Amino acid sequence: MNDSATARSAPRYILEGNADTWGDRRKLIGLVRRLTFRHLAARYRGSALGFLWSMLNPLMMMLVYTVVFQYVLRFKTTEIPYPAFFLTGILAWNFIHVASMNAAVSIIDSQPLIHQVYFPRVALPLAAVLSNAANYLVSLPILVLFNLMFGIVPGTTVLLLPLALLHLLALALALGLIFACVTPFFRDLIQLLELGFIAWFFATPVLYPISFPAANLSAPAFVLYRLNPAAGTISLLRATFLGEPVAPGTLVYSTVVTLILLVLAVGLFRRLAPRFSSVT
Amino acid sequence: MAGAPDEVLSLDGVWKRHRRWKKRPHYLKEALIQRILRQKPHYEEFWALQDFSLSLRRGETVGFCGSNGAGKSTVLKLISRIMPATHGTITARGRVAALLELGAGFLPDLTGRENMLLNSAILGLTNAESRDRMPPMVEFADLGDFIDSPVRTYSTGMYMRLGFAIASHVDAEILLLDEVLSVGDAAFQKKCEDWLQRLRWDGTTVLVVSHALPTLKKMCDRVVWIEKGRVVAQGNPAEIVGRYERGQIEPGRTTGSS
Repeated sequence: MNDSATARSAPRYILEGNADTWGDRRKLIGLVRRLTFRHLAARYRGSALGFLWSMLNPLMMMLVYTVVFQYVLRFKTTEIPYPAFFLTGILAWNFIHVASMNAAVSIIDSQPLIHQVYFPRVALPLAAVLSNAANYLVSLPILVLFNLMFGIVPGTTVLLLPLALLHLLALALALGLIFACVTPFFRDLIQLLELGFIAWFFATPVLYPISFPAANLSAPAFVLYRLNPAAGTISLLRATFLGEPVAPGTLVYSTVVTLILLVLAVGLFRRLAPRFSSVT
Repeated sequence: MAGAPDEVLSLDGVWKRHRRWKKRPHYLKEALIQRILRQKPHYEEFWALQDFSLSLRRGETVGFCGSNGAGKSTVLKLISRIMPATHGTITARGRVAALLELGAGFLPDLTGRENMLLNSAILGLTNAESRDRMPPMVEFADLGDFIDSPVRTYSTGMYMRLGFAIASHVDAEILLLDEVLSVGDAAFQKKCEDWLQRLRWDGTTVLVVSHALPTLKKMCDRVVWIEKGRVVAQGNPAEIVGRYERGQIEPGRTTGSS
């Protein structure tokens, strides 16, 4: 290797003056919009059937777990009817899972684009997460209707909704960005991540209320449990829709962890994005 | 290097280090095994570009010639920001649109029309602008019913028609073309040549990489001969291409084949 370079400046790419009149930010927004609509169009293909299909999975899981927990194991969870309790959690969990895993394959799936054209790479995982967020939003009216069937009328806690949604989105985005920028380098990470999600599912209060680990774990173990960012997000959503009380400590822990993850994710993505075009 | 007032693109002392992988670990388990067995990394590094400088003026058409692996395509990839340089400065005073190798950045499962919309967004057009330009783009591509078929069903020529149609309607100040002029039938080639001529009059700067030397001689204002990541010579197309051809034939003067 020829190493005779004397004057070695750091690499710079300068777009001067009014060179790029459209601007990178505007370009990013336009691109994310286009990609998000593409994902949604692919999912719905001109009919509402696609949406019903995506509701089928959580409803099916709710049925199975209700039968197992209520009739086989004779679990007493909370005052809240178990189907409503479970559906609120599983919808949010599925959003985190599917959005971040869609983001995880977003760079790999767009290799032809990465190799041939420049664009802000972050548009790909961003669109993957946002299209799932749209899907999640559409499922919320159904959740409220379902809860009404069990006599749960949304109270003033519904005002927490924007905060809960922001929390959920930040978490999915942070995970999505981290996954998206590491999977192009090691393909088997996708399988490992899926395994991780199985373990994480049981470490998150989806099947059971957070009062269970609160009662059964030792104090230090419960602190550790609450570092799970999804624990706070889902507790917050249950507070919003079901009026279940949520401990401020749980919220603080998970918010701090989510924000740290988000900062890490953005930093990692910026660092690795220039290398996407040299892996094949 | 102080830029001339009509300079639209400059590369100043640009270096690019590539890794030539013998066995790249694509899986975490492979990478871990390599680490545990303390195997040396399975790649060697080399400089694809060495202290490379170049300056382009507005409205100029410049061609690159050189052997395979000389660094021609690497230069285009750095200019189009697909890859970052290792050292050095690249300054662009305008929008860059690139038509690199085959494919030109299409997703195989999308139709021609969907790829047009996606590429327009990638190149920075707003939704309204993309909608306005769709009809002329579709007309230029002249693909008939194939415009609504997934591009994986396209032939090489059809890929290029689609790529050209997009690149010709996004008003880029700098256009990069890598080995794309030789594909397509005679009629479409003529169409592209006419279009390139019009772009030149409009002040678009065009950078062409081609092994079709007569094409370079015919269409370029200047030809740059690149070997082993350095500029060997540049200037009058006929003269440079002539020297390059003689260098290719005379043994011992050929360099940088890989």
